[in-house]
Amino acid sequence: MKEIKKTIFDRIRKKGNYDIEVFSRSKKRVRIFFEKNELKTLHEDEVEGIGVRVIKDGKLGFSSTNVLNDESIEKIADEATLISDMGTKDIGNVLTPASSYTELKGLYSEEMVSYRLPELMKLARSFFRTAKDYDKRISLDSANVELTVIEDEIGNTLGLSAKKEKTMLTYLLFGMAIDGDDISSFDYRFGVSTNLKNIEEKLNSTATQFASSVINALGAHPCKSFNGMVLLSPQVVADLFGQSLSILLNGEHVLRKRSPFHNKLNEAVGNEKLTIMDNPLVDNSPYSTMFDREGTPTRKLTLIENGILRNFIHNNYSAKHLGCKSTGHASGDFSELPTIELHNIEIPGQKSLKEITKSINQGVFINRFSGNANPINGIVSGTVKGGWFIENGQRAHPLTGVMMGTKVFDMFKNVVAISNETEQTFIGELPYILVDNVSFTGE
Amino acid sequence: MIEFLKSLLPETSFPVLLKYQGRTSRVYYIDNDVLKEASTKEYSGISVRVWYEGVWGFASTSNIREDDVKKAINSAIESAREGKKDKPGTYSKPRFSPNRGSLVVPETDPLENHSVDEKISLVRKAAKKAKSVSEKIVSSSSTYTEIIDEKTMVSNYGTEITYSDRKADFRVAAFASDGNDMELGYASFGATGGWHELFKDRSYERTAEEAAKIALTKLGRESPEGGIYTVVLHPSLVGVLAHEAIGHTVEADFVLSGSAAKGQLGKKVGSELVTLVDDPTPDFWDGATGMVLVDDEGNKPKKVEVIKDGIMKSYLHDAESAAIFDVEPTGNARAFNYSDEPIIRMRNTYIAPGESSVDDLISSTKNGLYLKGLGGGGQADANAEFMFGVLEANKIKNGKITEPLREVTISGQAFDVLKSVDAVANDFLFAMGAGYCGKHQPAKVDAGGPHLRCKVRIGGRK
Repeated sequence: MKEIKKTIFDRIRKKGNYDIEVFSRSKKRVRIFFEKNELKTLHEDEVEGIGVRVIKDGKLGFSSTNVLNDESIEKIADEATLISDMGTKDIGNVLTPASSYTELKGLYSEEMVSYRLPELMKLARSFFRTAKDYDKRISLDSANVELTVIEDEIGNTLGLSAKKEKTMLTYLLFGMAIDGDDISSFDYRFGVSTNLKNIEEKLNSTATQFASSVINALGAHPCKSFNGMVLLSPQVVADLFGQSLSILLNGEHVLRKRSPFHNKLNEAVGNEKLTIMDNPLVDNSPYSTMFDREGTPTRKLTLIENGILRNFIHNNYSAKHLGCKSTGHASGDFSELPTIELHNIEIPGQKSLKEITKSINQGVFINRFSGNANPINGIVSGTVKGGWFIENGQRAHPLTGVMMGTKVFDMFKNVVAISNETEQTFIGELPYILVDNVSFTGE
Repeated sequence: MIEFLKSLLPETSFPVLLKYQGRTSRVYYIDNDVLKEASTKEYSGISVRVWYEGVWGFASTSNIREDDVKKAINSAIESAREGKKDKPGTYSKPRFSPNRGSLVVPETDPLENHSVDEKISLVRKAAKKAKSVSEKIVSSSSTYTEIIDEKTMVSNYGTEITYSDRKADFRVAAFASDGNDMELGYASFGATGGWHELFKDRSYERTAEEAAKIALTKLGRESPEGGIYTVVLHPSLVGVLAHEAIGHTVEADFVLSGSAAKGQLGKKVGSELVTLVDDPTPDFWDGATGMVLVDDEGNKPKKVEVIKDGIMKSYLHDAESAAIFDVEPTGNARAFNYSDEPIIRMRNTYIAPGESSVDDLISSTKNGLYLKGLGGGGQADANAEFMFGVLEANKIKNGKITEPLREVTISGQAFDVLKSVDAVANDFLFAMGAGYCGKHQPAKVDAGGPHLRCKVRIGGRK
């Protein structure tokens, strides 16, 4: 990487006084894939690639390749420079200066790196069998155990130079239960770990949760149409709260006034029970990262505090335009220009899940949401999947054929309770959240 | 490349496929008159796929060197053999229909003939045009994307092929605000081929105006009340119904896992007005985005009549599922990048036109909704329960399209909805070409059909 960086810097600097950034990613992957209720494919691959950003007088060019020979490297250096020359001046196109970083522990496991197919196969077999053997009505569309080793390196002509490594074992089950003509909704469960501590236990627990969820979804029927409470599973919290916030708080959407929150800083946007943070500096967490796609150091950031909007998230571009500092939220692969994303959402809870469920006189538990949450107009509309009708604090029956409608902004304001229990999602370990005043269209 | 791959093809008694895919993609993106992205991306490499007594081994490398490819070949073979230890017993040997030769998608006025300047100018003008439609358009953007693929495949089961593919798409988004309310409108299209196939009967001006109009029309409108409605679906939503709600359930991997289409061959699954097809090369439409001339197992792709006059006739197959069902492969195994394994995917999926005129179909609808375009996402379940957001919606009153609504989401059980179809128009449009289908990996597909009338559940906030 050091030599490639030097080649690119030297080649472009001969053409003029350009600012240059080289981001490289090396990814090794071993994957065991089950399909149609049986072992399908064992997969090994390795990808290395670089993305080059070139800026002169605020004009940006970008090019990337995963073919790391002299010809390709020279070609992308020339193309990025050419595109920069043809670009338009924009004060937001700036690189990150040399920085220092918080060291994170437990993101890289030598033991995991030494894993080979037989060891991974043993884990995958146990994961698959635990789900399949739970009940003969379980049907697995796919199951996947994947070991990934990622090394990111970034350097620029402002003197920034940084490197980070991460190991991850991800495991996913996707399927349903079938009992004669009764087919449950699809469901999925996944987990991710940076190390192998208690790994068999984690996989088996995930498999059991999946199996139990799809079996319990059999025999579903609609409930009547009503307006009332919804208990969101952590996956649905990730879909409705997490994804909406990724857009509502995104500095570029704020800059373009596309976010309905663009003028709401330090105003109430949610119930006072609701506090949301982004924390990428947690040891041993798969969601953690010490720097972002631009090399900017990451930090813990309070987004919403007791219902009050406290911070937006920025990369260099939006921060420069809005006159603030990047919050370290630039994201993307080597082949992408930096965008903006959250790292690791934390939502503190106040009650146990049991207490929350008991408090529901009439409501719906939603395990998975198949629908759209439009963060522009706030409207949420879609189908309840793997859900339950709840009466007098008890699960009455599983649901199918029920649609849910509300507004994202109303959901933030109508939070009734947040659980202490959390589960892994794609955007952090999130709690269950009870929300009131949601409309359900059923029978 | 073909000689290089042939020289490395191992002599084995079991199937081995070597595939090179060289991909160059270019993106030009204007956001509020600012050129946010002008980029060239290269993503190339070689993959090795091996089938050994019921288990697939797959490995890939971005290093196009003999030693690295040999290492990938060994890795794929060892992986398959390792997996076999865990999967004893009987198996169905994949049934291939290998293709040979040199294939090139029809391309009139190649994309490469148009300069970077021209493409940047195009997206700049489109975003500007959308903004000029009204003062209420507060923000606009436009994107042009092209994917240029060069594939070479050789196998020890007869494949020896080179394949040049070109796919491009164009999109415009417009944000409208009246100070209180904000709405997003967008319009897009895609094609396989060259500049002519992409822009043949479409212009950036009309696309920009359409995006702006959609955003403006929805501002301040109400969502409908929830319930069961008679709806007239525009071809853009008929395509979503064909692809999302029905198409996924008939992919043979889903069928084997127990989807709602399992056991339905030869049975009535829809109104007799419904014929549903998945076609790799529709001869009545130039440049359909899901065009496939050879699939990623090296198989010849076939047109598949999935449903004929309401009766289910066929599933969509790769080589392995074809053997399991004892039929010929349909050429539906597709992989997006060289590093992706081929899986069963659709190509161009549509409901065939009927006999009613569109005007008759609408005028004979007393009360209902007219629905157009996919808004947000669409999803279908194993039990064929589907959901998708609608981009544009209007009420139909006494046979006439009347006031607009917004944020309509429709759902239903796909086969129940097909059975409720009581009129199919004689028009036709492919309308999903700008997007990607997601199933473990992206795939460029197209989908469409004529206008049709059916019953669906509408989600509401009242």
